[in-house]
Amino acid sequence: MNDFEQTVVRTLQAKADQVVVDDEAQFHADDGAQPLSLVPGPPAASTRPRRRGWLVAVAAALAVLVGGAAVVRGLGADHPDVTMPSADDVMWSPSDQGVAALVPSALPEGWNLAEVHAGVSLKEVPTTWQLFGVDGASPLPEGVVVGSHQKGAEVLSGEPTHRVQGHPAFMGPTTSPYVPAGALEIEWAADDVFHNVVAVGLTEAALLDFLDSLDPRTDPATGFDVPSGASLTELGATTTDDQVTISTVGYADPDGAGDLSVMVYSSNFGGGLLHRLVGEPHGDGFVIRGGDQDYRFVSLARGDGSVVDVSTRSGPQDPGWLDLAVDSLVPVTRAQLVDMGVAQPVTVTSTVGQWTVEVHGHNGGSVAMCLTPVSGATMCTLAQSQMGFTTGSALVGGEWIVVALTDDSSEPATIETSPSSLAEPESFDSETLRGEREESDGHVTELVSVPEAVDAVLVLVATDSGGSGYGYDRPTL
Amino acid sequence: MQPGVRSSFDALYRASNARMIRLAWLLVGSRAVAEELAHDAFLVVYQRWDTIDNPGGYLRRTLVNLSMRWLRRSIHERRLLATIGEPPPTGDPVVDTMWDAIQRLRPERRAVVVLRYWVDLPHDEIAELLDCPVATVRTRLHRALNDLRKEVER
Repeated sequence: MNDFEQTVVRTLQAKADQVVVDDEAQFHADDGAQPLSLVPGPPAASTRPRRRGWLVAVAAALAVLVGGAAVVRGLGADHPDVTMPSADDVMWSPSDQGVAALVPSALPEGWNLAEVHAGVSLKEVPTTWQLFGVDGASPLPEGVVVGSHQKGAEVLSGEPTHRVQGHPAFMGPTTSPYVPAGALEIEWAADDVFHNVVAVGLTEAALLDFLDSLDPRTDPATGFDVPSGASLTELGATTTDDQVTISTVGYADPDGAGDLSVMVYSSNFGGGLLHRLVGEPHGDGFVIRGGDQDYRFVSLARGDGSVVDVSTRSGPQDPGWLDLAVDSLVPVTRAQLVDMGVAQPVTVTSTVGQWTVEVHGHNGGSVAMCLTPVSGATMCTLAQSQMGFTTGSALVGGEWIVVALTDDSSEPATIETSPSSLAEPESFDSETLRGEREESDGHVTELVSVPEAVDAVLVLVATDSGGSGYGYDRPTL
Repeated sequence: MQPGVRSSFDALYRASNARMIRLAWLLVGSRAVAEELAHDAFLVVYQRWDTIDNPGGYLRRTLVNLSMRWLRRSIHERRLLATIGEPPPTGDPVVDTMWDAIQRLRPERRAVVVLRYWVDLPHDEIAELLDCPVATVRTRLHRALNDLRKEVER
């Protein structure tokens, strides 16, 4: 083992040693096992034998892996000026001219667009959200957000910790970054309906008493009625849709060290009521500020039900900076996003067959891709990039072109047929589409003209046990 | 599950939980996620206890698979969750620079690095864990070290 490898070993050991594990969690609540303290140190967050719920709920994780409708922008001699629509006129739309994302109009000097994912749609289970509490100004000292929906793929496993409404339930401290430490989370399933609860300011006993006092509605998926005389009253309710649209715009500082991410969800966990519970009034909505010195975020639930998460890892330390970014957000169309992407420098130029491919962006990420046929006009589209590869999809002169670029040290990308852009890889029989391939300047560029019979493709980077990538539906004119 | 078997499982849990959390953390870079993944791996082993011959090995393989699956999910999820409450820099610039570089590795390369240099597994056992040829492990390790050199020399 050489010196470099020894440094790797030392690094891994040093970082592993920083992870303090306090086994206060009881894997079996009934076996009387004693906590085992393996490494002395401050108590760490406890674990619970239950499903991982927050991860998907908070960030809609699969967005990057599967989304991405084609957005095509013709590039004429003159780029049209970017005209910002009114911030009060946000209408989510799949069209080229509908609002596709929110971008901050106030940024530190020199920061650049580094990432764009516009209008990624995911299927969701329609959920009724209710906020119970004692009416007053937010943040509420005591309150409960209850979500109810038809049971889907949720699996509640392990030993139940409590019973709610006569059903086995799982309670523990919430891991949501939105909610202050000490908040409780509890989940249970009643027949075909799943309930997820977040509570602040209540003891476990008080929370259980309140939940047991609720009257399930005739359709339990629509939530509960509060009996008269209950300690908390219903302060608000909303129902989130069967589809959530997510847009992400990311920025990087000139050194690539700082980042700013703006993620907009058409709806999110809690339907905005979680923000009303623990956030502060802000404009027509409620805002939650969180994180630490290394990572900070401001999450804004807007009056239209959408949620905006603005976060940074190493941006300016001024705590008001994220607030300024939030307050300066303006809606932009997909076409405007393409223009913003094309305004970034060209990072890769590749000639593939009869096509010239130009990628725009920075070292940290690609944001736009322009395709020029040997004869015909240049067409530009948004580019998606992650983990060493970049993809784009555009309708050029009636021909659907999909491009994948990888660096030459990566596994080659494949472009495969799919029933839809949202299909899970390996859940269907696919056909790998072959096109033109060019290797130059450390990049491998694959360009495919998708046959007319194919309605969707997945662009995948293959791994031994699966793949990751992006899905595209056939673009429309 | 018989009481004696449960006792054996508990012994495995107590003996391995901390190390499994650390392994998952080195793979995914998030304490909260590592704890969830370690728990999920234990749960899988618990449910299949009667049918597996090598619970420790099965546990590690399950954990690595779960970690790799998680890593293939969105960078956005990691961006929002992974850095909250994570250990701070060590203060050793060599270690911190190398750790930054390790975190930027592609998931499959990071996995090979962690399994080779922290778990101290030989190539053939890594290949078995990751369900890939031994030659692939060697290639990934070579490329990972190259990636790390490039990153730390930037």
